[in-house]
Formats: sequence, C-alpha cells, structure tokens
Amino acid sequence: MTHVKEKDITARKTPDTANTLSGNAATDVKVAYIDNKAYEVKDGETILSFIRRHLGHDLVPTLCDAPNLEPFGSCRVCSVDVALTENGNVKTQASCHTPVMANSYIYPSSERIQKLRKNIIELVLTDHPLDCLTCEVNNNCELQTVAAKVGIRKVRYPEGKNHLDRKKDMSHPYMTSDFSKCINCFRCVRACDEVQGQFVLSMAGRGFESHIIKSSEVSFKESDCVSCGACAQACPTSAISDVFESKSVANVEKTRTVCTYCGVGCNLEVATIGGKIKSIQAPYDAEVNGGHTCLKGRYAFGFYNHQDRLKTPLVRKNGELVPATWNEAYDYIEKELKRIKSDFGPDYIAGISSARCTNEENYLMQKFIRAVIGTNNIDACARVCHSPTALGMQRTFGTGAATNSIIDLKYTDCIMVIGANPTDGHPVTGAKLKQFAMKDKPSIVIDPRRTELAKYATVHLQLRPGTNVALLNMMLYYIIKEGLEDKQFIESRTEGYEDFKNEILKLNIDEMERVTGVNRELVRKAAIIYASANNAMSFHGLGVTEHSQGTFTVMLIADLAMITGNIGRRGVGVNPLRGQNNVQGTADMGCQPHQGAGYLDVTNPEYHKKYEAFYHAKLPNYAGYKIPQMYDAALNGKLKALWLMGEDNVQTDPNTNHVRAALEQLDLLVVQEIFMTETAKMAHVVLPASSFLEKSGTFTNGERRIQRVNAVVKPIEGTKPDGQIVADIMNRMGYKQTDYDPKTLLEEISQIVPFFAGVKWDELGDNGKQWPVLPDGSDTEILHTETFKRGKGKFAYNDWRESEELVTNGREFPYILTTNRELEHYNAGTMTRRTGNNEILTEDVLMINPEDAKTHAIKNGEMVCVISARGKIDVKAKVTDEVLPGILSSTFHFPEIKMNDLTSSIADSEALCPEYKVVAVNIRKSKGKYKTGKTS
Amino acid sequence: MGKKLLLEHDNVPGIQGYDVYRQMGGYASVEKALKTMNPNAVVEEVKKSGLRGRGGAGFPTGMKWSFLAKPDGVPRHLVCNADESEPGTFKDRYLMSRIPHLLVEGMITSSFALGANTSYIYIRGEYYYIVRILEKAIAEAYAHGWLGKNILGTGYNLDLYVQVGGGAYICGEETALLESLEGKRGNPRIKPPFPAVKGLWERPTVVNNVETIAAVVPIVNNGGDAYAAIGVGKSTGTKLISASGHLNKPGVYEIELGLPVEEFIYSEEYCGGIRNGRELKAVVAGGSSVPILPKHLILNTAAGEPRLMSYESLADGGFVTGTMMGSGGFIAMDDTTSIVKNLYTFTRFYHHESCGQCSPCREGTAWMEKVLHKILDGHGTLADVDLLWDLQKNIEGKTICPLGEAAAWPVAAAIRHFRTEFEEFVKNPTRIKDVKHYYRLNNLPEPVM
Repeated sequence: MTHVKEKDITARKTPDTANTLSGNAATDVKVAYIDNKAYEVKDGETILSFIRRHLGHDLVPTLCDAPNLEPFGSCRVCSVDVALTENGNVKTQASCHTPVMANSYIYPSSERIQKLRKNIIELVLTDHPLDCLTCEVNNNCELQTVAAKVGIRKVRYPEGKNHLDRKKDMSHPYMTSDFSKCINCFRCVRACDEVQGQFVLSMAGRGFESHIIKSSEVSFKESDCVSCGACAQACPTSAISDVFESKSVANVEKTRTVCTYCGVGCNLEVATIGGKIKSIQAPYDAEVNGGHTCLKGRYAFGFYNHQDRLKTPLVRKNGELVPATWNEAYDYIEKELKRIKSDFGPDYIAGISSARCTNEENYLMQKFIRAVIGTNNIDACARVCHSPTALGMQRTFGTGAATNSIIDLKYTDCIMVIGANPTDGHPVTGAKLKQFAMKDKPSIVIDPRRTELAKYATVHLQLRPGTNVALLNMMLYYIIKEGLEDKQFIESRTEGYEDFKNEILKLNIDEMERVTGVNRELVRKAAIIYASANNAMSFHGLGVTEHSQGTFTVMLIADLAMITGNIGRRGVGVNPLRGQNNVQGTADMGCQPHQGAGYLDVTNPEYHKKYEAFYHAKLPNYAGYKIPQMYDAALNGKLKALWLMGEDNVQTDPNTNHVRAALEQLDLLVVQEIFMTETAKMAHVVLPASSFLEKSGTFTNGERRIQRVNAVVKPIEGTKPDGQIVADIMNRMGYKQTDYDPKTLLEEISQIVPFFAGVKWDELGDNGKQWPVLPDGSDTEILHTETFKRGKGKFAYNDWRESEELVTNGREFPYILTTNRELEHYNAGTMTRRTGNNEILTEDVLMINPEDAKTHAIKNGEMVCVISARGKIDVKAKVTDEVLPGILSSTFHFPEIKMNDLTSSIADSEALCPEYKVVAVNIRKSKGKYKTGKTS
Repeated sequence: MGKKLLLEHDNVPGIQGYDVYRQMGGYASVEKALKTMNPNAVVEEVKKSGLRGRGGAGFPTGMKWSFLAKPDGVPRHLVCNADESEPGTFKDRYLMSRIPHLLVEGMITSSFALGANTSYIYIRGEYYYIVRILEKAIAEAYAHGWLGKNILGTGYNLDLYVQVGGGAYICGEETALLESLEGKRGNPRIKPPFPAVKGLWERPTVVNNVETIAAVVPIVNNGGDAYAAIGVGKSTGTKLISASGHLNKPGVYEIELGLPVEEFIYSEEYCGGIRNGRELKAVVAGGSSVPILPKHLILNTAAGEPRLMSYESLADGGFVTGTMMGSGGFIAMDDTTSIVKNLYTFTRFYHHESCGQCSPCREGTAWMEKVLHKILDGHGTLADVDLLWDLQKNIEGKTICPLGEAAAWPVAAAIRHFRTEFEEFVKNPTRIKDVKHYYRLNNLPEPVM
C-alpha cells in the first residue's frame, strides 16, 4: 500500500526538495486519482494493475483476466468510470487493458459501474447451469465469487434459448470439458495460444452461438492437444478441467514441491486428501514456470502409488529374489561389502548415483563411496547425458553450468538451439522458445531432425548426425570472414584467440559442406544472424553431448558465445538444457570419479587433504572409474560390487548386451529402486525406495536454481527415502552418519561446496536460489559477468573427425540411426508408463524418410527390422519427412523394443558420454512373426 | 444541381474500363502526386480539404494520416475498408462496380502519401462480383504502369491486393478487419495500440473507407482548398448517400454536404418524395445503427432550424433529439411502418453479427432480440420495455468495439421516440397475434411484416 496523500505531492514540489534532486525529478511523479484520492502511477501500467497495486486485488472483480495471460478485455466486468476532472463527465473503460492516464479520475465502484457489472453477470448467468452445490469447482469458481460480490439475487431475463445441453467430453485420459459451464471468457484459448503455443482451442460460431472447439471440432482425445493442462488451470469455471478435478478445493491440503521429471524444475502445488495425492497444479508465482507445466508434471503422478511399487527389500537366494526384512538385506550387504573390501580392496567396489534423487542424497551417496568404502569409483547418470557439457564448459569458462537463466529469454534478441528438442524434452522451456520463434524473432535450430521448433525457426541447419563440430567450425569461419567478431570482448576476456582463428581460417569449407550436408550459404546466414544480434542465447541438449566429439562441440558452442561477446549479461550465454530434474545437482554434489563435492579435483593434494579432514576419513588421491569403465572393469574381474541408486542401466545404457554381461560378473549388485526394473531383476539385493513425492530435499535445475522438494505424502509403507537407505548402510559399515535430514545435510554441504556457502534450508523460500549463493545468502542469475571462473575464457580449436562407428561399420550398415524423445514419456518410461500418459503415446516408432521407405517397400505402420553391428530389433515405421533420407530416428521409452541392443559402446573421447546419437544400421521389412509387431 | 466529384462520369459508357476512365481524366492525381508533389504535400492537401472519414465515424482523414507512425525500416500499409455491410448502406458497392478505377487511383495516390508499398482492399464476401471488377481494374492499372515497380519512373513501388472477407459484419470494424486480413478469426482488437502504430502484421497501418479514398482523387487534382469550398462548416465536400425505404426514387446520390434534409427527400432532383403519396413517419439517417428520428425531428432540429445533411446538423441535439451522419445510409419509413417490428429486424441483425468476444454484446444482443420477440409474440409486459432500455444502456460504451453501440443505439432511439407504440404492443397482448388486425382496430396504419 503506497497511498500518496495529496499533501505529500505538494510537499515534493517545494523548491527545497526540488533543489536536492537533479533536474525536475520532483515533478516527474505522476499521479492518478481513485475515488478522488491521489496515487502514484507507474509508466505503462493498466488501470487494473494500478488499482490492484494500491488498493488490493479484490476491489475490481474480473473474469477474463488471468495472471499469466495478456489483457483481453472480453468480460468487461473490470470496467471502471474514468473522468478527466474531479467528478467530471465519465467514460466507462475496461480497466484490464486501458493504460492509466496521469491525472485522470478513476471511479472503480460507482453506482453506474456496479449496475453494469451486475447486468453482465446476470446476462452470463442466464446461460449457465445453476448447479453450484454439485459442481466440481464449488467455492473455487470465479464466476461464483464475482456473482456473490456484485450481489446477484435474481435473474430478470425470462427463460430462453441456452446452451445447457452441451455434451461433456470425457474422451481423454486427463482432459475433460463441460461447455455448458463455459462463459466465453477466452482464457483457455489464450492459455493454449500464449502459454503453450499449441493453438488447439479456438472459438467457433458468432455472438450467442460462440463456443469453444478443440482442433476442428473434435474431442480432446482426437485433437492435437498436448495435455499441458494450461487451459484447465486457466478456466474460471469447470468448463475445462481434468479427471483429477484439480480445481476442486473440497477437503484438500496443498504442498508446494518441485517436479521430478526434466531439468526445467517446475514448481508444483500438490493437493492431497487424507494423505493421498488428488491433483497437481502449477503455482502462478513460480519463477521457473509461472503457472505452467506439462502433462508429466501436472498429470503423470499416478505411478507413486501404483500396485507395482516395490514395498519390501528383496535378497537373492538360490538364484531367486525373495522378500526379506530390511535387517536381512542390510546384513547381506554389509557382509558382502566387507568381504570384497578386505579380499580385493575398496577399488573393487563402485557406486552410481542418480540425477533423480535430491542433492542431499547424492551428497550422501558419494560420501558413502568415498569416505566409507574408500574409493573414487562414484559416477552418476550425468555421464550418459551432460558430462561433456560440464567438462567442455569447465575447460572454456571454468564452470560447467548454464551461464544464464531462463528468464533471459525475455531479454534476448536471438536464440540458437543445438541438438535439442525442447518442446518434447523440456516442455515448459520449450513452449517459451516456441513462443519466441513463432513471433518471427531470429532463431536458429541445428538438428538432424525437423523438430517442432525447427518448423518455426528462421534458419534450420539440418546436418548429418555426428557433424556438429564441422558445422560449428563453419559458423565460426563465417563469423570471422564477415568480420563480426566482438574484438573488444576477445581482447579483454579471452586467450588463445589468434591460434584459434588461424586454425579456423584454414578450414576446407568444401569438405565441411559435404560432410555436414548443409548448404554453406545457409550456415553463413545463421552465422550472421547469431553474430549480429545484440544479445544471443544458445541452448543445447543431448544432440550435442551424446557424440564421440561431444565435449569438443560444447567447447565450440562456448567459443561461439565468446567470439561474439555473448557472455556475462542478460539475454546471452551458453545454456545447456539439463535432462533430468537434478542432473546439475548430482555433479555439484561430487558424484563424479575425478571431482568431489563442489568440483574440487580429488587428485589435487590440497583438496585431497581438505576432503579427508572434512569426512574424517582416509581417501584415495587418484580418480575412480567412469560408468563405461566400470563395465569394462567388471568384465575384467577388476570390479566385484556395484551399488545403483535409482538407475536402470540395463535399459538405458547403450549396448545392452555388453552391460548385461558386465553386471553378470559382479559378486554384489545392490539396486535402490521404486519399481522392478530390468536392472533390478539382475540385482543381489533390491531395496525399495520412496519417490520424490514422499521425501524432502533439494533439486538443482538447469539454471543452477536450488529448490526445495517438500514431502507431499508419507513414504509408501515398506519404502525408505534413498538418503535414509544410504545413511543406514553407512552406519552399518561403521561410519557415524546421522539420519537423512535435508536441513542438517544442507548445512554440511554448505561447508564443503563453495558455491553453496550461503544455502540454508529455511531461507530457500518458494522459488529457491541460484548458485553461487554467497555467505550472505544472495544468489546469482548470471555467471561470468566480470571475469570467467578460470580467469580468461579459453579458445581451443578441434578438428572434426568422423565417428569410429561410421568408419568401422558405415559401409556394411549405410543408414544412421539417431535417438530422440517424445513429450509423453520420460526416458525408459519406468514412471510415465505407469500413468495415463501410456494411453496417449503407446509405443516407440522408427522415423523413416518417405524416399527410404519407398526403397525398402515399407509402408507407414509396418514393422521394420533394424540391424546394427551389435544386434537387431523390430520396430514400427513412421514414414515422415522429419528426417532426411539416410537418417532414421527412434525413441527408447518402451524398452521391450530393445533399441539399446543396437547402440554402440563408443563414447565421447573426453567425458566418456556414450554416442547414442550415431548408430550405423541397416533396415529391411520385418519377417515372419515380427511382421505383426506383437512382440512389443 | 449539386456539384459531383465522385460520380461525375458514372453514366459515361465504358467508364468501368481503363481507356474511357483515362480519357475522362483518370489517373491525373497519380501523375500530379508522384511527379510534382512529395508525400507530405499530399497529406497537407488532404488536411486542407477537411475531408472526414466516410465510413461512419467522420474522423478527419488528414489527421488520421498524420498519426501514422513511421519507424525506420518498418513497412507501412494502407488498407481500404470495402466491407460495406451496414444495413441501408450501399454506396461503396455502387462506386466500386461503376467506377472501379476511381478507387484504384485513390489507393495509389493515398498509398504514395502514406509511404505504403503494399496496400489492400478488404472487400465484403457478398460482393464477389465486384471483386472481379476490381481485379480487372487493378490488372489494367498494372498493365499501364500505374502499379508495380517504379511507377511513372519515379522509383515509387506499389502492389495492390484485393482480399475477400468471409461475410461478417464485424470485419467492417477496422481492427477485426485487420485480424481477418491476417487470416485470423475476425475479432476486434483491444486498443491501444491503435492501427496507426500497430496495425496489419503489427506494422503502422491506415484503414480508410472506399469513399474516403476515392475523395482523395479530386482533392489532389483540384487542391484541398477547392474541396473545402464545397459544403458547410466542417462538413466539406460531397457525400454519397444510399437512399432506401419508402421513397419514390431510392438510390445512390452524391450530394454537397449541407443540403437540407427536406430537399433531399422531397425534391425531384433527389428522392422525389414518399411513395404512394403517403406520410413520412421516421428516418434512419446514417445506416441502421444511428438513432431513428420521427418526421418532425428529421426535417427540423429541436430548435426549429431546418435540418441539413451535414455532420453537425444531423447530430444537433445529441441523441435526445438528433442523430448522426454515419455512413450515409438514409432509410425513410412511411406511416405504414411498425417501429417495433423494424427494431426487431435491426436487433436480429446485430444479434446475428455480434462476434461474441465480449459479454455485454454477446449476451446483450441475444437478449434484446429475445425480449423484442417476446413483445412481438404478444407476451410482453411494460417491464420488458424497461428491461430493453436497461439492457441497451449497459451495452452502449461498455464493449470492446463499436458494434455494441451500433446495436444499442437503435433500441434506445426507438423507445425514446416511439415508446407509445411499444406500450400499445404490451398492453394488448391477446390481440397482438394478428398484428395487422390489431393495427386496423386501433386505426393505426398497417405494419409491414
């Protein structure tokens, strides 16, 4: 409340005050009057925001206005009277979209206005069922609230033609509609357009016959709806809702937490009734997602109490996994670990942590492996996704994390998306990127597939998989040739540029054009767009990292940012789209074989000493195994025990047969899981863990934002949080570790991880903090503003090299198979396939260009046999021009297809991230029993 | 005989074709503007002329043109609003079908003045046959070098397109027109921003009526002062009037503004009086949305002055005793007309044409029709007349676009001036079934049903 009294205004105009201010700042204070009282006006604000800012949210009722939508002005309930003089002639104006005029007199609740509002609501109610008591949104209905507020007692209009007989649409696994309750406010249409950018909902018919339609007047199920639920949340009544009745407020309690799917880190508001989850909505005040989320975050929570949940520990006896008590399981593990450690040594034991678990759990896991077992054999699933990002950015900048924040999309002039399909993989950020590209702003997409974003991009460079380095080198070549480098930035902030430039200028462009398959003029155009934008932001995903030259590609992306000076301010930077909810945190917490908590090098004597002192334990001073090295070690008898926390390596790591063979060699395989996965089936001990909805902690999203995960329900009976399991076993192994408690663990972490110095559980608030968090608690939205972490940014040239896979197998297997993701499912589908998402997307398909399909006489929907040097599989064909001739692409959400039987063990030369994205294969029509596709 | 600027040659055989139009002095304004004037000089002439928008609002055209934002590197557009669909208005149809080159010429000269290189004529869907006429004229203009690249060697380029509407009245509202032109559903936009700043494709845009753009031709040819010399006061120049209803000679007339209404109705030069020698009952002077006036108020103002065909005189007395020039759709009704029934017809139109975007209009137009239907059906009460009055008050000025007002004004005026007729209806509900019988019994003239 910043009510400026009229007296105050005159006081500001006195010469005394004016003299102390430069210029005539005193007279710059603009005011307008609400009911003849003066209040300060901000530039560009609407009458509605002006009134709400000064007199609270409730003075002016609204129906079509929503916090995350542009003003629309359709309901007119927000109308106010405006005069140019005190009590002068008034004009009625819709306050939501009319800018407030300085010195105007606003009367928000005059008798005339009250009558108008009443009349509008009265008219709306003539075509609205009056069944409030039995309605899903009773007591949470904006129409009901506004009607009560304007005081409707009686509807004066006689009964006439109405739309109360409109049919409900219950066709969809999640979305529902009952348009008899629609008040034509357009909020759903606008949410679909402005928030998600899907354009499924629209208004058909005119005037009184106006009605909402989905696609071309079909049901939700048949429409192009992506089930993000933005419309359901936006609808002020129950005209659009979901099967969980998420707007019902009957008996619900609400808990705020963070989504466990992708690295966007959406805040969720989870409603529970009697200890059970009822529904999820997205809080409007969430900085990350502002009232939006996707169908995974909003609707795919049903896995948490699915009947398949593991509810008791299992121990292998006589080759069979049989139920056991926690004590029996722990006894078994303790005995085996102690035996292996004493017989072979600590380096025969390894652990793989999980990006799905909390920071605190990851911290405990690496502490367990390092301080209790005494080895650096700790890695995490970041190895198979973004390890090249961390390494590449560390080499160039000194820090392996996103340099900027997603909010910077509001300030940037150009986006470049490389090897990422954010509308499927990171839907909320993807929607923002799509909104950007759709508005015809400069956007570049580099991807072998014509992704949804590519369709809207200014330039789409559709390169051959495995040629990222060649293409980015070409872009750098043209930037230098066109003289578009930021010479001042290069001079003051970087090193190694001259050598780098000389190497780039030596490039054989003819050769690069041939290998990438992208026209050089198109590359030149993209280079000019990126380099000449005032502020350009790049985003990249697994299409960059999961290659044999992944780390080099990341370094080139960083070089592109440096050569154009796009680092260290709003709207620029290098922004990896982190795959999993806490993949950033996993690495931050030290689940890497060469770096401990806070990225300190374990081989550096100073840090080694620091860690030993901190953990009160003897630690090895050499790096441990990365995941692929663990498999090799197991096959060579160098690894006897492996502890997996929440990861299904058999199904998700490449070259399944290789992984299986390695795991079969182990004396002890411990798996902490929520479901019986393919990996868990091979374990000696399976420990039932709790899901994210059942425990507390913190996740760090892709923009370094440490956010609080709050337990929504109690752990499912028989399960324990992963952190508690690790703590239990640490104690069993003779290390004194307190129980899993995020608050005390965060305190411990803040003492060892430098950029967590100021992180306190109680001070994280609803929206968390972005690291580095200084000891005073202040956080950081943008990195490298003054200097780089490593001092100067380092240019490093790397030549393009053909992937070993293609060199070796390319002749025999002439097609290139690459992998991608679909919106509805998450990785191996362990969770999403136990939700309604499984009814929306039911199988993996192989994308194949019409030309190739014709060559092999394959029709859309027919089964195709795909053969690589490792194995063969059968999968249904989807004939599409999303891929170029010679290129195939598929998801691996349905592991029955066994896509990873095809992938190779070839990995990034630097970070050992597997090359999922380039597999040499051949195809033919499926034969015999595989023709039907019933195998899946 | 009044001076004619637009329809001077409309009876010349072959004037639809390029050759005759050119012989009659056509395209002189383009030559004059492009070769001897700069764009600002053209705008200045239009300002001097006092020309006001002929689509209905009567906003000074020169001023509208000078509001056009001119940011660097952003193309600007001129869009001609040929979505003529106000009941009682058909002057643009007449002009475009008779002398299509006049509009094309006006578009070129005006586009030059505004610095637009791509211009559009957005035409009502039902005028499909005029689309062919216009496209032929445009093709001829291209063939003779009046359109396209480097017109008359001056370096000025202009492309002109005709876009056909889908048959919605709302698309005559300029922002709905722009939405439709962009290929979207024709819903009006909220303002600000105004089209002069963000119009078509978010670029600065001027939207002008057909007649307005045609009037630029004589203004440039003869100078703004010569144009301003015609007419009375701020109502300068000539105006096309679509005269319809119970007149002896309905049709499109070009009048000098300031002509007395009485002369327009009764003189042989214009409408030639009321058909069958009947008595004039009421007039809707500017298209269906402007307030209806009874005979005594349309012929003379409340102060007893003769009412003139001018923006000011028609509006004299405000809405209490006056009306508006509007689009010049002059509908005369003789004493056989039922005002209630006529209002029902108008209301049904607005209900049908409301786009449905904002609630007062969407629900209000539907309910005005329903209540009037109820009255006509013999089930009305006195309270219903008050309800109608209340309804229109809560629509007028409370909607996103002027369609709400257009729907509310006729209701307000009909009740204001003919309340007794409504009361007759509701007071005699049983006999109302046979309206004609009822009218005869009450010694009222028979209604036209």
